[in-house]
Amino acid sequence: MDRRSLHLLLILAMLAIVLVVHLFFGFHAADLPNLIAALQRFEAQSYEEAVLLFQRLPRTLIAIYAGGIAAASGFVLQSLVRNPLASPATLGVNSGAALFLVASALLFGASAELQGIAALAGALAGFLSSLAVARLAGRRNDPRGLSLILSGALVSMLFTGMTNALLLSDPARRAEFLSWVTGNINHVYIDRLAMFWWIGALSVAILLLFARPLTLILLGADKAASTGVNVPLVSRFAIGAAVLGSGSAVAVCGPIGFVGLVVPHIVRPFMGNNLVHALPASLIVGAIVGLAADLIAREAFYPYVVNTGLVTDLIGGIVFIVIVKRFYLSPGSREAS
Amino acid sequence: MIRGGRAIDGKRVLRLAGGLQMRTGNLLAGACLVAAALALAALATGLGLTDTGLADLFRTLAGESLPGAENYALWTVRLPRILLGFMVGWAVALAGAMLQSVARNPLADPGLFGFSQGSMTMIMLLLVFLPAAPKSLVVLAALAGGLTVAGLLLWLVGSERSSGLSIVLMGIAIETVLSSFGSLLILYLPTETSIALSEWLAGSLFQANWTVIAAFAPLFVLSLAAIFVLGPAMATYDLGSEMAMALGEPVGRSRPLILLTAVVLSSAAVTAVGPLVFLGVLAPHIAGFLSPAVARARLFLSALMGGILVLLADALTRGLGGSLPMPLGLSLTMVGVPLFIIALRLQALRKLQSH
Amino acid sequence: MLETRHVSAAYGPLNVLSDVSVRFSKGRLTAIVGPNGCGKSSLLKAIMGFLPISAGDILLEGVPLHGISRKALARRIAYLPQDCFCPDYMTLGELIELAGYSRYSLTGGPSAQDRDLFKQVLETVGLSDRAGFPVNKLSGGQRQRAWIAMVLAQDTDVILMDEPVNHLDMKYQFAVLELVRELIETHGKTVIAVLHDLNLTTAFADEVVLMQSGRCITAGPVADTVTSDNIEQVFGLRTQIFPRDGRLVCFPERIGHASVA
Repeated sequence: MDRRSLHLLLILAMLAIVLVVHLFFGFHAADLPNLIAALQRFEAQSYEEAVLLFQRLPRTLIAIYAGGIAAASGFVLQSLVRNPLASPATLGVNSGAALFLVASALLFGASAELQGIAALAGALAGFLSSLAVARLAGRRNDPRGLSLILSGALVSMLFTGMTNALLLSDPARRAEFLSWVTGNINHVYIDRLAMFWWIGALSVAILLLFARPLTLILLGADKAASTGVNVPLVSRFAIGAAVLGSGSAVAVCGPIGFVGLVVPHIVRPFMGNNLVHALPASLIVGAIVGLAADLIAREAFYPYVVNTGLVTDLIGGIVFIVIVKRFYLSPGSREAS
Repeated sequence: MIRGGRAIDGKRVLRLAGGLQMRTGNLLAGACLVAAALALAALATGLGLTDTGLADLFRTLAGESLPGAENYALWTVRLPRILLGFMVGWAVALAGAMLQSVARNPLADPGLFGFSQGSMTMIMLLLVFLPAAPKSLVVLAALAGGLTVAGLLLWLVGSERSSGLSIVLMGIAIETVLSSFGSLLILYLPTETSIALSEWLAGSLFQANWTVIAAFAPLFVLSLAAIFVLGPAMATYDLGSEMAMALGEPVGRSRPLILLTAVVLSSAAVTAVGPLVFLGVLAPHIAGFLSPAVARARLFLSALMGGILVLLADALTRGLGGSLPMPLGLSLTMVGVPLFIIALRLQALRKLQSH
Repeated sequence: MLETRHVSAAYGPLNVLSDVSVRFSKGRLTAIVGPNGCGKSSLLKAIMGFLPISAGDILLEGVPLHGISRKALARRIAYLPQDCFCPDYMTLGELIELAGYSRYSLTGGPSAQDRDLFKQVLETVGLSDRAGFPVNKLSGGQRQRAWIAMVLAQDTDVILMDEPVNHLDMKYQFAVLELVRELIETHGKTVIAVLHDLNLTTAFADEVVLMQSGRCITAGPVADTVTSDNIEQVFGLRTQIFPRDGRLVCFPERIGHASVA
């Protein structure tokens, strides 16, 4: 069995372990057999079993969804945009989705389904805005695409500010959304997951389908074109799928940042750049990170439960610093400024 | 003695005795912007529910006294907002223009460096532990927050040899961490405090009063001095820090000074009005589009443009009659973004034409 | 004139210069040549103080450059980096005016003499009619000449150039280097240039500093330093060096595929 398949098996095993921990952490060991039985029956007969089925399990599913989608999306974005700092959080995708969702709810009284559609539109709007603003800086003296990151940060700040302003205009509903807006993996959002999971699944399917042509594009657009790949079409489709997938994750639990930034960097040293292997790996590792972050958010500050989004933002910010130091500040990569 | 002449590139200039030259194109643009600012200010005195305006202003200045409601509207609400709004816009735009030269990127906004975020976090912490803190303490906290971030940045990347863009990237990283911390506060504080903080985060001239203006005024004067002293260096920074050093600019000394000035300006603005995102990018860009300038002229025109944009945004907020509670940040976005798009488009057209 | 004595420098753990001692002759064009990564640019950067040196001294006319202020240095040595960046809104005239930055006081600007110098400089590079153009709108060759004009306008005795002709068409490579020769012969400048092309070096330079892995292998007049043995040692390439029309030509012999390791 070759090395990569071994790695895949390993991380699948890790996922299983983290999943189990996430589900069962905090219960008494004695209760475990009953809990497992309750899972199999899908029926709760005691308080603990109810907690497991109706609070823990939904959380687990949402964490897997949000983490996996964000990671896959991040990997594709980093590959196509050719920027190690690209991710749904840094390119305005998450903040755009959040803004449009909140706007649709507060200004138009949209139902949960319509909010989801708004989130998808917002995700696209955020990404396109980042591209538009980045064009201001011009392409010439920007060999490593830093302007895109700058513009993504600006657009994110703008959109977040507008979301904040919108929330202020409706104090009654502000409380409803305030938690969601910072990224909240909460069992109450399971109905949203039920509504939108197919979008993420579709986007992942598209990305996996395009994994090989995308890898070719990554190696060089000209080379890819010469083998018959329709570069502009495939790139746009893939970016669209990545962006919309992230948008659907935001629609479920709010913007969970930085999983999409961090996971590709974890996956790449082991799986290389070939998306055929790296994309499934990103999905799995993303799920692991999502579960782990949620676990920390849930248990580390006992008895308080912190929003998962805040945990990922904080850790993500630190990882961002590390990436910047490594990619942009090391002596080997010094630019003539 | 002022003499007219031409610079080497053929553009008209005015020359002073010591050799100081000013491009007449920029002087003209500056004069127009000043006129626009005055016109906007005059217009803004008349906006709002109470029926008062420029005429009443002149009457009070001439010694007459106004009835209570008009006096209140004019002197307690409108004039402070107009003056403070202009100064704050000026400060943020100036900080942005400076940072853009240092970072050599037109997208360098004071908000990106994390200075605003640092100020905000400190203010938030202060208000959480000392809700009744006096304004002076709030100002100090804001300054301390901004300076801490600046110090952190300089420590992480500030050596003479680092590129301007790496500083910006670090700033974004710091900004992200701090903003998550801020979200934490907003989320877990009692609702009233949380709403108050959020409102302040959205940007508001609501707190404008003469005390704040008196506190801000010395900074404004200082900023004029900064334009004069630091302006020429900006042109060298535009060529990159290595070229700046090659031309004789002591980057190791002046870059921290420039960052410090930008921090102080943006922290002061944040304390007074809350963060004004994107203004630091918007104003210099539009000003540069109206009249491409270098060095002092660029700083001056950018600052003027910043003040004008805030006046416009405030006029929008109040002109809509208070039916929609619109925070300054939002109206600034609504005013600024269309202007930005227009400027981008026109620039693209210009580029196409000249090719 | 300009001299480095036992200069060593490092980027973190990476040694870029090791014990480099070179004397650059006054009023000459000295080319610094060597394979990629040998420390050519680093030597220039060390002289300019962009790269801190861990050992040794750099002296200009016998005076150490160590404690000298940036302004003072800018009046003595001008520097042209490999990648020059100019904002879109800057015109050629504005760029030239910046060259006198080290001479202007805070309340001052270009004096009448400065302006005459600038006009002369523009004539020397042949860009007098382009002074109003934004720098980034000039063609590649013109842009390089614009930067050389700026460096000239700094009015220093010594000019350092880091790969000044790399990305230019052949015609412009020659035009620029001929301009550099004129600077030396007519204006008495001392020019130190990092060059990549051996034949351009032998055609235009007076002296050569040959570097490899951060060390100076040999330095001296072109004829003494550019020899088959030296080239083979430094570049790993067997060449024939022969004179033609008054200058040396560097003629690489064919390499077999097998010997490229």
